[in-house]
Amino acid sequence: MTLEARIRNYAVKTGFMFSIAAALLPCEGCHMIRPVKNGDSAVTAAQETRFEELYARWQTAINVPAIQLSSSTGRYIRCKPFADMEAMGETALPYMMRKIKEGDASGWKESQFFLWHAVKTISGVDLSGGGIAGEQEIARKYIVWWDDRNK
Amino acid sequence: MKKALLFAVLFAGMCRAYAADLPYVSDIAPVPTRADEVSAQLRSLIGTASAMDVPSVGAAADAAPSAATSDPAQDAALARVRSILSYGGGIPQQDKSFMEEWFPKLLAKGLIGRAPTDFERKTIDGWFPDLAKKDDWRITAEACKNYNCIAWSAGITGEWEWPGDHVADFDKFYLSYGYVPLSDGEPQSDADIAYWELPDGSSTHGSRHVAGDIWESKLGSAPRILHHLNDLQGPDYGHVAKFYRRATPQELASRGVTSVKTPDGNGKDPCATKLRKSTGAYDIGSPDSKLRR
Repeated sequence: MTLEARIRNYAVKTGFMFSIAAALLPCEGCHMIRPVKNGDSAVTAAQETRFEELYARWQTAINVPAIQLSSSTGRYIRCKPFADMEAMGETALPYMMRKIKEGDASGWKESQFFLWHAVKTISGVDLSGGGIAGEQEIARKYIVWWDDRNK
Repeated sequence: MKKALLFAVLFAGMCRAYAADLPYVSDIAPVPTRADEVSAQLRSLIGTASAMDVPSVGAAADAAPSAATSDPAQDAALARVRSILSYGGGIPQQDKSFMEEWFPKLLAKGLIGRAPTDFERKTIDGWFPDLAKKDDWRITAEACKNYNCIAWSAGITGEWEWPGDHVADFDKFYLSYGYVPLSDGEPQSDADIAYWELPDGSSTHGSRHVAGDIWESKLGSAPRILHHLNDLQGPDYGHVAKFYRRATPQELASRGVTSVKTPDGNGKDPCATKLRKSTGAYDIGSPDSKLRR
């Protein structure tokens, strides 16, 4: 019997599960631990965490004068964190679409509309309509597309 | 042995439970350095989620006066100018002579927009040296990510517009809103929009003409400002490479354009609204239905 199994046995016997759990949980990132019932869920949680990290990095990367003073969309999306979000592939789509929907609902305070470019790259679906359309307008088309796809 | 092990586990649990009430080292905010403060202020200026409010640094007393003056004619002119300026895109033909007459006077009196704060001067001047030299630029709307320079130059406030990276993309975009390139020989004073690009031909910016030598630019996600035409030239925005003006119906027809897009800007810039709400000291004019184009 392993040491961990022995501890668990004693804990069950003595009824001090809370103390045992508190002792065994890692300190950093406790708040990110969520109920996991199988391997797929664990993977999903890790992917979501990864996406949120990249999204935060992207926000930091674009929040510099050289980019904030620019109107060129390319300046906002040609950076490593954005490319890393794209590189996550299909698994990032739900999180990207969630961000776009949040932006649409809250006045685009984090320029979430730019994420449609990543959605386009990952999905291969081009709803941009040839260039004479605003970023938000195109992002909203992707919301409709996503909702239709997940009906 | 078993008892010792159990004691160790319980002791560890108690320590962990106690420690959970204490902040971790990584949770404790470090004492901010001067660089941190500048960085935070810069971020608040250039449009983080909370930066649509007026930055907390600088001279708030510079905000444009909104109280009526003792001159009724000037008050009426000010109301009309502010109303005209609350829309982006080219100044309507019927308002141009009025703007040429009144806008410079009202601007000189500090009644249009607001002066930048000291911090805004330091930040934005740093990127546009020619702007710093004249030091007479004004802010007409706060930092806002909803729309950019190209959108404002066409009268749009609800979309971020970037049609492409080359002038041909902008020809197409501006034509869709009813603007054509200024022809050779036409005076620059007829121009409604200035298109900017870098020496390598990549597009950077669009400004809209207000009156005389004064133009208005939304600086990406940052504030919207009034400036002299060439004050933004430099390594970031490059130079003005082309002008556009409103097309006549005949010109549109000759280009196969049967209808032009209507800008969504309705005189209710969400950024200006936010500012008015947050400070109560800034007013670029509420839309007057009689004056709407």
